[in-house]
Amino acid sequence: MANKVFGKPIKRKEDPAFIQGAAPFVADIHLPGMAHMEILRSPHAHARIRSIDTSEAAKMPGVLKVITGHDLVGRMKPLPCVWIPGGVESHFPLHPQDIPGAGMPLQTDHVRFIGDGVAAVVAETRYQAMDALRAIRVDYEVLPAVTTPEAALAENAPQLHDSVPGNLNAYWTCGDSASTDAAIADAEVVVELDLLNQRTINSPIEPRGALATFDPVTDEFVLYASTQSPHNHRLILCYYVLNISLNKLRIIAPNVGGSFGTKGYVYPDMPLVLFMARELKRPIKWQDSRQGYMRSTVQGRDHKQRAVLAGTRDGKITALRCTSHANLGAYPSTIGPGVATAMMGRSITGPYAIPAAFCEVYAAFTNTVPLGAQRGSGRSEATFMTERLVDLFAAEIGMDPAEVRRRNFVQPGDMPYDNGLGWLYDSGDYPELLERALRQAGYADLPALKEEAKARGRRLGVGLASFVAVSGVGPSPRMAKEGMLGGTWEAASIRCEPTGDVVATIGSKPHGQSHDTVFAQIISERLGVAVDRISIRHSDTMGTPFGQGSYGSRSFSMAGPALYLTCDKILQKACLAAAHKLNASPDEMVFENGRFYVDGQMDRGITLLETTLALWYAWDIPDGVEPCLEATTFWDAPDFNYPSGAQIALVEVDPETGEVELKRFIAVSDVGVIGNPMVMEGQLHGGIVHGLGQALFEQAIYDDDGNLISDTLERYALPKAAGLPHFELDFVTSPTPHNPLGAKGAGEIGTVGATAAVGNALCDALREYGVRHIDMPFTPEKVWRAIHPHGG
Amino acid sequence: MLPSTLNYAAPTTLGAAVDLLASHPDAVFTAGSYRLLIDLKMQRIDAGTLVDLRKLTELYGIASVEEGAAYGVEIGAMTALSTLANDVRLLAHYGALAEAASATGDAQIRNMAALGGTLAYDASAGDVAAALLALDAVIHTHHSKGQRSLDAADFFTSDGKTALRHDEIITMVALPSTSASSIYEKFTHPATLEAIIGVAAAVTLDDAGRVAACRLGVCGSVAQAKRLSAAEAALLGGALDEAAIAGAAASAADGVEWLPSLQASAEYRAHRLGVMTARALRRLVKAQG
Repeated sequence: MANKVFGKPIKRKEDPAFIQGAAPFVADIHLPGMAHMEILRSPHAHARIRSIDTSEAAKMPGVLKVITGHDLVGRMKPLPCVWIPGGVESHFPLHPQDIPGAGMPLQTDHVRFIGDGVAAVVAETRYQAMDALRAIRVDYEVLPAVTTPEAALAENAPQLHDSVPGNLNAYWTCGDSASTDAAIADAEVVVELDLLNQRTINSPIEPRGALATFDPVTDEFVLYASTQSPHNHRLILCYYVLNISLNKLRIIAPNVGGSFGTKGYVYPDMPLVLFMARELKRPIKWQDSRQGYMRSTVQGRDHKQRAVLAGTRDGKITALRCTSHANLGAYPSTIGPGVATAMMGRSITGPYAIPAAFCEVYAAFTNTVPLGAQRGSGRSEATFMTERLVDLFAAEIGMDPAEVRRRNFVQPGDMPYDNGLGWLYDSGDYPELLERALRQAGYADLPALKEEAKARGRRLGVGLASFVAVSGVGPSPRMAKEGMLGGTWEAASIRCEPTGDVVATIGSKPHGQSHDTVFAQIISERLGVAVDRISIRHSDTMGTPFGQGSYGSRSFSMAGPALYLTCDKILQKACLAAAHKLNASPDEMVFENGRFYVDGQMDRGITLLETTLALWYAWDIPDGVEPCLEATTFWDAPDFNYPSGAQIALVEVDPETGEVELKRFIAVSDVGVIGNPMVMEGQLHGGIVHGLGQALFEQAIYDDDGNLISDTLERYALPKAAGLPHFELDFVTSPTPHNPLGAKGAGEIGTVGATAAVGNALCDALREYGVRHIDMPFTPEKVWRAIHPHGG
Repeated sequence: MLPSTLNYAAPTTLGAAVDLLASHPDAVFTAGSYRLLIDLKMQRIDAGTLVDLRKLTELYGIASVEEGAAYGVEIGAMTALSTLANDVRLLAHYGALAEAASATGDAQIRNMAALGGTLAYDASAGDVAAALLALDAVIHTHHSKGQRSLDAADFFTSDGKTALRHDEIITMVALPSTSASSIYEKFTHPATLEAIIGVAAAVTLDDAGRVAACRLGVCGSVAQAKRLSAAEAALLGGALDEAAIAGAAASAADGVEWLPSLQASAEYRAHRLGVMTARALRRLVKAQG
C-alpha cells in the first residue's frame, strides 16, 4: 500500500516557533538569581604559567567568585576522550580513570592553545564578569609554538604533553602497504598529489552556551547546554569529570541553532558552570560570543595529504596510497582522534574498485584549537583527495574524467562490496548516479559552452565528484574495534495516550534536522495517527531514553529504525487487545488506517484509539497482557549504511582577476528511503553550501606563534545565499539492508562531494594554463597566481 | 571595556547635536549605527554617549541646484544609501555614486546606512569614497565653531581617517553639475562585503572624442582614498581607446598605499586595480556608444 504520510514533503512542525523567534535557545533562558560566568583564556598558544593573581578581580563590582585551576584540584578531573584511533598504540594526556584524557577545564601551569582556560569569574552581570577578567594578572613564560603536525613531529619540537612523546597521538593505518607499493611500482601510469585540506571553523548560527542550577536540598543539578549529545555528556560529566551520581544531573539541550559536529563535545565551560552553581548555590550561565566560539570550539578538517594513484593506460585504477598528517590541535576533543583517522583513511577508495589501497595517518598534537568533526568529516577530506587524483589520472592518460570513473566504479551487482580498507558497502548504483548527473549537466554540450565562455574572455570548467560516505554510526561491536569507548545504539519509546494522542521519546537530539516532523511521519504512517496528534520528545535526559547523540548522519538511520521497530511492538500488543475485544484470533487481524479488523470482515473492527482505551481501562484485557500501550526499543545497527552521490559543478573563471563564479551545481544522491523530501532538500542545500564554503572561502589562519588570525566573521568568510546558484537535485534510491526503514544518512553527503566537484571544475577551467592543482580555498589571488605564476 | 550602559541622545537641532559632542569627550555621532555597533561590541572603540542624528530632519533628501544652465545636486548627509541607489537624478548624471551606494553592504544595511555616516565612519574604506572623489564632491559640515566645506580630495586623510573634528557633523554633500559619465567597479570582500578595492571613474569627452576631463578615485583597503592622478594624466587629452585604457591601467596603482589584508596581497591588488580601471573605462566607452 502506498504511503500516505511517510515520504511526503509535509511542512516542518518546528518552523512556526523558529520563524517567529519564539523558540528559546540557552541564551534566552533567564532564571531567578542567575549569575554569569566568564572564562579567562590564554592569549598565548604555548606558555608556562608562572603565577596567577586574582586578588584585584575578586574585589571588582559584582564579582561573586574567581577560581583558577588550583581550585579544581581534587574536585574535578580532566575531560576524557572517548573516540581514539582504533587498533593502534596511542598516547594521550592523562586521566585518573585510566582512559584517555583531554586536559583539565582550567590549566594550572601550562597552556597549549589560545583558547585554553586559566581562570573563571562569576559576577552578577555578564559585563561585570568580563571586566573582572581584565583585572586578573597572569604571568606567562611564552614557549615556542607548533601549529602544523609536521612541525610538531619534528625532532626537538616543543612538547605539548608529558605523556605524549614527540606529540604523536597515533600512527594509524588501514589497507595493505606492501601490495599497494608493489602495484604502484608496476603501474603504467602514476599520478601524485600533495595537498592541504585546510582547517575550517564550523559556524552554526548559535554559539555555545551552558547554564547550570544546583538544588542544595536534593544535591541535584540541571544543565542547560547547547549540545548534540545530552545523554552522553551527562554520563561523561558525572562519571569522568565531576564524580557525581548520574541521578543527580539532568541535562536539557533546548533548541540548538546548528552544530555541524561542533557541539558533540564536552567543553570546559560545562563542568565549570556546574561547579560554580554548587559553590554559589545560584544558577550560573556562561554564553560564548562569536569570537570566543571561533577561538575555543573544535575546528575541522586539517589533513596534509600526500597521495599516489596508479593505473593503466586504458583507465583502470590499480592502486591508491595516502600518507596524511592530521592536526588534532592542543588536546584530543571528545571524539576527535577517531574522526581524524578512520573516517578519512577507510574512505579513500570512494566508489571505485581499487585492487590495492593503503592509508596511513600521523595524528599529532599542535598549539592550535582542538580538532573535531565537521559535516562530512573524514569522508570529505578523502573524497577531495581521491577525486582530484582521478581527474589528474584522466588528464595524464588523455581520457574523459567521466569515462575513467565509469571504468572503475564498484557495480551494483558487487554489493555488498568490501573496499579493502574496512568498509563493507551495503548498496548503491554509482554508475547510475553519475550518468544522471551528466545528463542533467548536458555533459555532451559543455565543450560548446566552454568555447562560448572563452569568447567572452572567461574560462568554463566542469568538475565531477563521485563518492561514498559511510554514515549511521553505528554497529556498537564494530565501533568498539574502531576505538569508540562506548555503545553507539539508539533508543526510542512510544506511548499511546487514552485520548488518541501519541508521544514518542527519543534519545537522539535535533539541532536543525526536523526530528519533530520526520519522526512523527514514521509513527503516523505506521499507526494511522495524524501527525499533529504526535509529539516527539527529546533533548531532556529526564524522561527520554538514553541516546548516543546526533552526529555522523545518524539520527534518521539510527533513531528512526528504533522508532519504527517500536511501532511494531505497539501494534503487536494492540493486536492482542483488539483480537480479544473482537473475539477473534490475533492471526486473523488486519491493521489498516488506524483500525484493526478481522480479515475479510471489514465491518468487524476496532480502532487503535478504542484499543488503546481498552488497554488503559484494563477492565477486560487478554491474559498475560499488561495494561496500557507503551513500548521501548534499543536498536543497534548490524552495520553502517553507505549513502553515495555524484555531483557536478560548473564554474566560470575570470583569468584576468582569478575570480571564480559558481554557475551550476548538480547533486544526484542516494540516501536510501527518504522520510520527507522537503527536509531532504534542505539537508542537501545546507550540506552543499558547507562544502562550497570550504572550496571558495573558508580557512582558519594561524600565524607561526599560534595566534588565530581569522577569529571573527569579518576575517573568516562564509558563503552567502545571494552568491549561490540554484541547486539541481535528483535522487537514486537504493534502500540499505541495514535498517528497517531502508534509510541512509543524509546530513553530510551534500558536503562530501562539493569541494571535489568545485576543485575539479576549477582545474578543468584552467587546463590551458597547465594548472594541475590549487589548494582550497580558491580565492581570486590564488587562482590568479596559478594562471600567472610570474605575476601580472 | 564592553559598555554595559551607554548614554543616548537624539537631538533635533544641529546646534544641540554639536553641543553634546563638544561637552562630552566620550561621545560619538551615530547615523545608521551599523558599523558603530559592531565596533562597540568588538571593543574596538570606546564610547560613553551615542548622539543619534536621525532626528535632524533637515539632513535628509536630495535637492537639485541650478548652476547656470545646468543642475548640480545637494544630498543631505542623513539620506539613506538605498535612496541614493535608486534616485533617478543620480542614476542619470552621477552613476558612480548610485552604483557605489548600491554596492554597499546588503539591502538592509543600505536602508539603514546614511551617506554622512559611511563617509565619516568608513572613511576611505567606504564604497562612496571613490565615487565622491570622481564626482568632485564638496562635503559641507557644521561644528561648534561654525561651518566649512571640504573638497572630497581633502576630506580623506592619509591615516585612513577623515579631516572631521570630534564635534563636526557632515550636513550635506554637493555634487557639481557635470556632463561626465561615471561608474563604479568593486572587488568585494567575501566576509564583510566591503570593498577590498573600489574604483570610480568619471570621464567627459569633447566633440572630437578626446578626454576633456577625467577623474578616477580609489577606495577600499587603502591607507587613503584618493584620485588616481597618474592614470588620469595618461588619459587626458587623448582618445579613449584601448591603448589609452591600457596606459591608464598600467599606472592605476601608482601612489596607492595598500593596507594589510588577509584576502589579497598588495601586488595582487595593484594588478587588480589596473584590471578594474580598464574595465571601468571600457564600460564608459560602451555607455557613451
